Amino acid sequence: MSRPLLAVSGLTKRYRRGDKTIAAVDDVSFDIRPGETLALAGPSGSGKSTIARLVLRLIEPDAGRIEFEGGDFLALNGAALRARRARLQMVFQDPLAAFNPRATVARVLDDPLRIHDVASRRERPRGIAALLERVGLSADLAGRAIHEISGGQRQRIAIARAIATKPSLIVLDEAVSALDVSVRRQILQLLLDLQREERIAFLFISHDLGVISAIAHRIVILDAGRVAESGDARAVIGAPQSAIGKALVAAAPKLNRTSTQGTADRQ
Amino acid sequence: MTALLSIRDLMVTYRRDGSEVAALKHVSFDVAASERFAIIGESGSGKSTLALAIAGLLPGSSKVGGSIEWKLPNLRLPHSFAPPSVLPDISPTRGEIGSLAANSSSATLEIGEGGDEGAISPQVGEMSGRTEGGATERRPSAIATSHMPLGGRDIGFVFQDPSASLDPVMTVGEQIAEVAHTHLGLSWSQSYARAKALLERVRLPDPDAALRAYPHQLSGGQKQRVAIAAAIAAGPKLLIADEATSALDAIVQAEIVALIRQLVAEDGMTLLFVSHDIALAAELAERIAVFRHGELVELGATAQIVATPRHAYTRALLDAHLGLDAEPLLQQAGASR
Repeated sequence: MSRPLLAVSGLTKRYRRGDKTIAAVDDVSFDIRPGETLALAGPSGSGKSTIARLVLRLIEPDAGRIEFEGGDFLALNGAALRARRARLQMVFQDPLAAFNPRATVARVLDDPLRIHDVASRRERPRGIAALLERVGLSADLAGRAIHEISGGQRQRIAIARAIATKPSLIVLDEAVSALDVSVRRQILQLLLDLQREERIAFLFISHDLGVISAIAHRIVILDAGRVAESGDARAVIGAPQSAIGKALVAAAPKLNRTSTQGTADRQ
Repeated sequence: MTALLSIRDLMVTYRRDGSEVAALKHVSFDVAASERFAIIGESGSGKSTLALAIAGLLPGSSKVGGSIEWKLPNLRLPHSFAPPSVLPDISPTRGEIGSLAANSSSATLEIGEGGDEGAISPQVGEMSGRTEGGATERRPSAIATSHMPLGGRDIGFVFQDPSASLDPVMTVGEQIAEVAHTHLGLSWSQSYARAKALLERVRLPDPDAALRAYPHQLSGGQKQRVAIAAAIAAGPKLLIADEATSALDAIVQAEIVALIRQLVAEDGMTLLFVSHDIALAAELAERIAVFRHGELVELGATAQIVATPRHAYTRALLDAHLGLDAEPLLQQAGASR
């Protein structure tokens, strides 16, 4: 077993609501190995997205440790943090909200290349074309504005931007949830291809156990900010032990393609 | 099977950036009374346009052809209400509307004549705005309809985002009671009693407290329960749920689907369940209509659609569904630990 790429231990984040303090994330520990997909699942309010923001250091924890690529990630500041962030990228649910809608595709992809000094000014147009090709898009798309392209194309651009700085870990927060099913499958396949070829690890946040069982190696199920259970994704989804795990599995719509679904009233 | 509504050759065209986009193309089908009917499609399929057309909530700038014929038992007379179209048109961009109502002048006329009764209360228009979330920006489109039913009374509509369909500055109790007061002619105290009973029916914890609560004090699932209570407050014949569970997490989604199923069965309502999720629709609906690019691709009993789809697109949708037992993409990709 390889050394963890990301090791999170005792992670805690509390919010004040009126007089009460609520732990959105409560003593959560997990790790991710290089090239591995770890899924975070759980109902709304279970702390999934708060963990994503903590790992990305968009917010700071009240307690706990985050080790990334062998170093104390929480201790980094300034230039050292910025440099390390090139290795830790993110893709969110709604790329239209993540980008300036009037920016061109080229501009969106130029930013990480410039900011993280991945390519010189002369090389960047070629870098952008290569990134577009990498995510299965035509180089002609470079001149188009973000708001002009389809949702699936936009999510490919978000992935292209995420891989521009050659990260070792990408946090994907409900990254395929808003996509049509046929597009969703293509994006998942793209993520898996990138993972296999470049050994990128994914922290994959989703409420959809079907998607998780299709692409994740391991799963952590959260309930009210705590880890309810964790383990091999398909084993946990196949036989959940925790109450919340059982509830999530029971709630997932099942498509029975051989029998007489929908005809019987199950009231 | 008695039809509740018959849709024939329905066409809806929107104008976008100067060009016309056909959202629905020659759509024809019947919905039977008291059936659970699902409308399935991906983005751009026209499924929401269809739901809005049936509810008479299409934006005024849309161009409509074809007919939606209602066969509502004991439908109250159409002139007992004032559709929002009678309200003054305040938006200058809607100037074009009148000329677009080409082939359905009789239906428009019929609606217009309702004004003669003098029963037009501005509150009616406002009311439908609240229950239908944004109906104030819409007006009944000029579809040839027989016995036009009334949104809020004959048709209950539940939208995807309850935060947008509920009024943020009205209590939950007021919003539900207003529907009963407006459409059933109940006194305010009777309407509040009905609102409380409805909050119990949609299983909101502590209905007394919920009556006085504002939408922002409730969770997403609770808000959707309130939106459902308001939608069924006047005892509609048809309940339209347009992606009503899509913004909810899986557990709450399953609860809301079970609730809709129960309410529809208890009240003998017809359900029109609009969704992108064919697996979810298959769990709830007796029949499924699959839409793509504004066209009805396939319509059939749920078991047939799911087990023996006739159209390649239906099969593709079914294949794209990632169930808990789905083949892992991971192995196909050959990723290793």
